[in-house]
Amino acid sequence: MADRHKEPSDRELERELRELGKRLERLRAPDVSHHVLRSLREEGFFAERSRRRAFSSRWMRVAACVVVVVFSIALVLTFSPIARTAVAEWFGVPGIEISFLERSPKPQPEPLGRGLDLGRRVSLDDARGQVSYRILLPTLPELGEPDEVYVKAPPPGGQVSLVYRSRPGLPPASETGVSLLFSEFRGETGETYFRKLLGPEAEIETITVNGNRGFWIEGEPHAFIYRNAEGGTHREDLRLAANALIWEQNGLTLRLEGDLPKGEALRVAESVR
Amino acid sequence: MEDDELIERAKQGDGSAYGELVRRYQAVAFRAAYAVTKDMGEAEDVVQEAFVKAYRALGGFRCGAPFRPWLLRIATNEALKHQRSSRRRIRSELGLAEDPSLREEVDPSPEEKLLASERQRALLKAVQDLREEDRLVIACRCFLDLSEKETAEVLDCPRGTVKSRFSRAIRRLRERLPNATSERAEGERYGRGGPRSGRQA
Repeated sequence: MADRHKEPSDRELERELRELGKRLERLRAPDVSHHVLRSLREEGFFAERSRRRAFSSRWMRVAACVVVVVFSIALVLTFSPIARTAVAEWFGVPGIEISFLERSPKPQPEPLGRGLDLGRRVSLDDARGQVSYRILLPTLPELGEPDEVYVKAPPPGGQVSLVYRSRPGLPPASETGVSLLFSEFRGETGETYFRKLLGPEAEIETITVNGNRGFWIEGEPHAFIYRNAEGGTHREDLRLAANALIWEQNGLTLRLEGDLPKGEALRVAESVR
Repeated sequence: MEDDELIERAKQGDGSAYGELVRRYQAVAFRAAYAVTKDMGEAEDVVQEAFVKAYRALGGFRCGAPFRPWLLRIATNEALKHQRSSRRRIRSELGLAEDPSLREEVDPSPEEKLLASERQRALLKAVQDLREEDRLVIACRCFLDLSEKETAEVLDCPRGTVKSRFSRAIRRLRERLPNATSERAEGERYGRGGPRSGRQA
């Protein structure tokens, strides 16, 4: 015997939903105001001396600072803790390390990735089991499978690095023998979570990759500081003396390094799934 | 103090003004986040992050524009992003807190405790089982009481499509509901499409 109950009309259902909504209004919402203010203070907002930082010109001030900082620390190859703190506060991000990557040709051990401090070499399948996220890969047919796969931790959740040697269609291998280096780990590249140090000739450009925010860097090698998924910071030196495309996708920070022009790098990046 | 003034002060670096703004809107932001995350703890994280992001973006906020839909857009985007993060993937891989029927057997959630009847519980579950886009438009129009214009801003879609998205969502919701008189529906039909499954609305 079939049920013949009258289903609610759309309007009736809508009314029920609104009633439900009224009930849900009674859900106690936590007070996050203190946490919010604290987070913002940690980023340098609301500080006493921020009187000189009019909000809209914050980024312009950062850019101006970078030029000055670059020249003053160009001679400094390592930082004392005090100097590090001073520089970090200048950028308004306390506790963040900023450092210069020295350019020096590296010997070519086999396999290619070993000299680059990428971690432990594993198979791609093993890597999948060792990190806390689904590994994304460039899927351009001419790229094929990576030649070497590495995993290391920290950062929390693990970092995967994929090494691609030269292939037809890829630029010739850099001094390290690596044509393309693709790395990923959990983290964000939001504008305040991401600080870069520019060499005097480096250029940085914000860019969109797969609908996500990213950065294209040409020029001198750099160090980068990311905010990882636990909210901690993680420093990464760029491994290749080449251009870099960095973006966020699926909650991961992705980095593509290689001697590629921007268009090519974007082509590879947009194939990443 | 009006929103506009709070916002202006916050932009000038007045932390307590921003704190006041947060307190004014956090409840609605929380409900919006909750509509997406379906989990109160995650909604709390999302709201916190949303207000931090909102502050950073305040420079681009058009003076005099309504704050609520602008903020809710940030909150829902943050919730959607949070949904897709790997942390959630781990939790679901471990089978935690994703299966609504599993939750019900353990303990009624705070949300469920608030609801008077079986029907309301069933309705909430059905909404939570909808795909995100449907859940969101229903939340905007029915739970958060946003106008069509505000909903369009929150969902970042043209105003004209809000109506059609909403009716599609209602239709899909109806397909998930047990029959109107739910006493009989409880044990037998929970979660199934029932006799309506063949009907194309």
